[in-house]
Amino acid sequence: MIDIDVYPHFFAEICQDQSKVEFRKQSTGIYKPRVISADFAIRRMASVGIDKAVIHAMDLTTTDGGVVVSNDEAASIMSAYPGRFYAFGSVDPSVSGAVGEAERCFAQLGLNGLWLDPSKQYFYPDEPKMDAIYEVCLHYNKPVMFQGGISLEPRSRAKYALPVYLDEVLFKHPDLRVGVTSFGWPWAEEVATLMLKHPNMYCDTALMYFDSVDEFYPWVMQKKLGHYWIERSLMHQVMFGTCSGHFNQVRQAQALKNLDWADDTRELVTEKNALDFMGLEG
Amino acid sequence: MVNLKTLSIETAKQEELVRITDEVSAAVKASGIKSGIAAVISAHCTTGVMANESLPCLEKDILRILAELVPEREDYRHAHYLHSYGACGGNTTGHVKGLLTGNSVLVPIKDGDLLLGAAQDIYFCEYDGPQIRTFYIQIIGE
Repeated sequence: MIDIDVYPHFFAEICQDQSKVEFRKQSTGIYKPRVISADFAIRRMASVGIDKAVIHAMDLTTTDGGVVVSNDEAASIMSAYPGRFYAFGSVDPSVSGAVGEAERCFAQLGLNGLWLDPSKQYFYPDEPKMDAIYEVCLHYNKPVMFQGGISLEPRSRAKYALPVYLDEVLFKHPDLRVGVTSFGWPWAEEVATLMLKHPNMYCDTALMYFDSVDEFYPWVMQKKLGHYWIERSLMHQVMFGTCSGHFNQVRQAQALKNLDWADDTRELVTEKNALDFMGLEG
Repeated sequence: MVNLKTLSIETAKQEELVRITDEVSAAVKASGIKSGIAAVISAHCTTGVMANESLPCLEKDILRILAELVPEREDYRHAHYLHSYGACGGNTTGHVKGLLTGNSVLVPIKDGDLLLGAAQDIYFCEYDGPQIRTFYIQIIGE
C-alpha cells in the first residue's frame, strides 16, 4: 500500500536546525507539529498496512522567502530508506533557475516527480513559463503533482488551484502525467470530469477538511461524486494519499478500508495507480 | 524528597495497552526513596494511565468495552479543522477514552519498591496512536 502524499517536513532527520523547523511551521500553518524520525513514520505507516510513501520537497522562495523542504533533503530521506520512500522534487516557477533545478531533480538526484503548489507559489498551471518545466518532466518520463483543492495553509490563494487550468496543461502536453491532491476538493466534480477526459490525469484521496474522515471520505467520493463513479470510470486514476502532516494518516487508511469498494478497486487505488503515475513497474 | 523521571514510549497501534510496571519500578528503585508514593502521569490528552491486571483477555475486554462506550461514528464536534494546529481534529474518541481511564495512577512505595496488589500492573493506555508518548513518574517520599 502506497501513500502518495506524505509531508516529510517534520522528520527528525531534516529538523536539526530549529530555524528551519520554525520556518516550516509558519509556512505550512502546522503550528504544533510532532517531530518524528523517518523510522517511526515507517512503523506508523506499517500499523495500517502502508509500506511505501511519497514525500515531497517544496520551494516557496518567491512567496514565503525560502525553501520549505529542499530537493536534497527529500533525496536524502529517499536514499536513506530505499524501497520505503519515493521523493518528488519541487521548484519555484518564478525563480529563473527553475528549469535547471527540475533537470537536477531527475538527472542528479533521481527523484520520482515534481511537486508544485499553485496556491502557495502563486502561478497558474497553464502559464507559458510552465511549459519548459513540463518538458523536463516529459523528457525524464516523470509526473507532475499539483497540491490541489483548497489550501488552508497561510497565504494560500484559492484562485490558482482551480482544476480547470489543468485541462490546458494536458491539452498542450498530452503525454504528461498530471496529478492533483485531495481530489481537488471542493472542486472534486471538476477533477473527476478532467480525469474522465484525460486518462493520464490522476488525483489523491487526502480529504479531511470537514467532519470525521469516516464521514468525509464517503461524502466526497460516493455522494458528491456518484456512488460508482470511481469504481466504474476512475478506478485507474485515483491514488490513496493522506497529506499526513495536516491530516491523520492512520484514520484515513482505516476510512479507505471502510469504503464499500470492490477488492480490485482498492488494490488499484492503494498501490498500482501510484506506480503507474510515477512510471514505475508494479 | 521529590524525584521526577520523564520517560518516552513508542506505541505501535491506534489503541493499545502497554504494561509499564517495570519502568516505573526501576525509576522508584533508582530514586533511592524507600517510603512514599509514586505518581505515574501521562503528558497527553488522548492517553490514559491505569492499574489493572495483566491478562490478554482483560486487555481485549477493556478495549472492546471502551469502543462500545465511545463509538468511532458519532456526532463529535471535535471533527473539524483546527486552525491553531493546522491539522484536523477527529480524535474525540481518544480524548473521551483518556477521560474514562484517567490520566494518572498513584502507587505506594514500601522498602524502596512499588507496593502493588498481587494482580496489579501499571499500564500506559494509547487511544490515538501510534505515537511517541511521554509520561512522568513523580516520586515523593523519604
